[in-house]
Amino acid sequence: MTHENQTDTLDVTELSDPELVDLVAAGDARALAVLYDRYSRAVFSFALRMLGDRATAEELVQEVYFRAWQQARKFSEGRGTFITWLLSITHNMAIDEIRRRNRRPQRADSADPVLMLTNVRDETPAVEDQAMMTAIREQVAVAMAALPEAQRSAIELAYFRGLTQREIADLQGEPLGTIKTRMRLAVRKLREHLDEHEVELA
Amino acid sequence: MTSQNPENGVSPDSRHEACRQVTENAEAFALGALDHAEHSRIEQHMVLCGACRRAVAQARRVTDLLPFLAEPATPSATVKTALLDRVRANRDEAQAPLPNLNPWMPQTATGGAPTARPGGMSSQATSWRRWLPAAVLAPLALVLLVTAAWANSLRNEVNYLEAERDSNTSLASTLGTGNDMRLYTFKPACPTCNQASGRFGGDPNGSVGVVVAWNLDPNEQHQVWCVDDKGDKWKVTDLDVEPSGNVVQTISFPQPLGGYQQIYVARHDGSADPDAELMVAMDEQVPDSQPTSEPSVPSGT
Repeated sequence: MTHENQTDTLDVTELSDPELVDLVAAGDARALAVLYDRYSRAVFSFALRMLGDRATAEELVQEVYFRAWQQARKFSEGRGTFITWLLSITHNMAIDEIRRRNRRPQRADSADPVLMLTNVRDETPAVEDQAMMTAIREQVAVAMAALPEAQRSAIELAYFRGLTQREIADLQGEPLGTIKTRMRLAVRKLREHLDEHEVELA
Repeated sequence: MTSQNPENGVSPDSRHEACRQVTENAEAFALGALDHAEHSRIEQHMVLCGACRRAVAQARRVTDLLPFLAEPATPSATVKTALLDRVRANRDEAQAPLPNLNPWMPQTATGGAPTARPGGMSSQATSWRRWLPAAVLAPLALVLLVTAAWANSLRNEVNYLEAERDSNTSLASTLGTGNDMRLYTFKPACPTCNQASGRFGGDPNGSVGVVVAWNLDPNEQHQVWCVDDKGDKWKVTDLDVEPSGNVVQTISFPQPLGGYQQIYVARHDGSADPDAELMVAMDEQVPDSQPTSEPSVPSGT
């Protein structure tokens, strides 16, 4: 008998994230489906932002949720929210994929993922439970836009492209110390803005 | 001359230097922009230093929000369908009954015990009951005696293997020690995991090894990683650590073990770069000819 049989009268859509994660850890696929409905757009958007093509990003979404299914019992609320955990898995797996790609020969006509992003737009309207994430996105975008171009670029290359600060220094022909300073200032300015506007994950 | 902290072996001077490095690099650390060695150093220092943990947590409050910068997009519906099919298949596989391995139990189409034969015995068959006990029970008793003797010898064998394991010499036996079997010792590389220990065994020419480890933190996620001949790091698999903190697991590697520069166990809490939180590492690289296990553990060669 599966856990779903034992709890089939339970309305799982009303449960909190930690309660759903507990059910997932017990083998309840319905709970995973609810968590998928809540956060798959955030995971997919992030994966697409990093990888640049829908097919690979969709594969990554499935891998991220499958890992969450396998490792749900290892999620601890004390370490942050479920969505933070899920997005950190997404980041790690996307970085792995980017580094794998970098080891492979690239086609001369392969598109730059960053440039491709401008062509990827979703027409699906944000639903109510996406409102919090939409508000965060707007505030983070405002904070990023306020950064000097060089600092914004440092964040982009490190976080979304998986480059180390040493690699960024080599790429941009700048001293390593300059890149370190840019990164430090960028994150601190972002933090000041986000603190000022009380932006944080619930 | 610097004094040593008797609890963790870290001198105040080196600790001060480590704190300075975290202060300089907390933001780069949270962005994942440090190379592996720098990232590991900070990870290990943070275990000891609350102030540095807080500095990194401040930076992570920002980097945790960066994924939301992505333009909203929706995956196609087939992703969810494929995911749920996959997890249900995975669950069903995990819950499937074990195949009937009892040679005395006839197999059924479903692999379980046979069902009762429909219909009753005929009156002719009933007459067999008179002499059946004597004719069947005598050979059956003989079979039972032989089976009991065999089971007893098996039990002795198991006891012997368990005793061997308790004295840290059974891994090679369990693996069926051959001329090429090697045993290696894990060396704790994390200040808070100094109770953790373990062994890794395998044939350098083969691609299968066994990890035996104990005193791991069962609340942490542990993974087996390897460094290939080009210096690239690859995750091999997750370790399924028991609640007691022990694990015994057979690991399949993509290529022969002798081709790797290093094989190690890493700790990963899901919020950091998985290859950064080195917990225990092998103290030697996997050789292709000479055993390097500690002298007290027979390598079987």
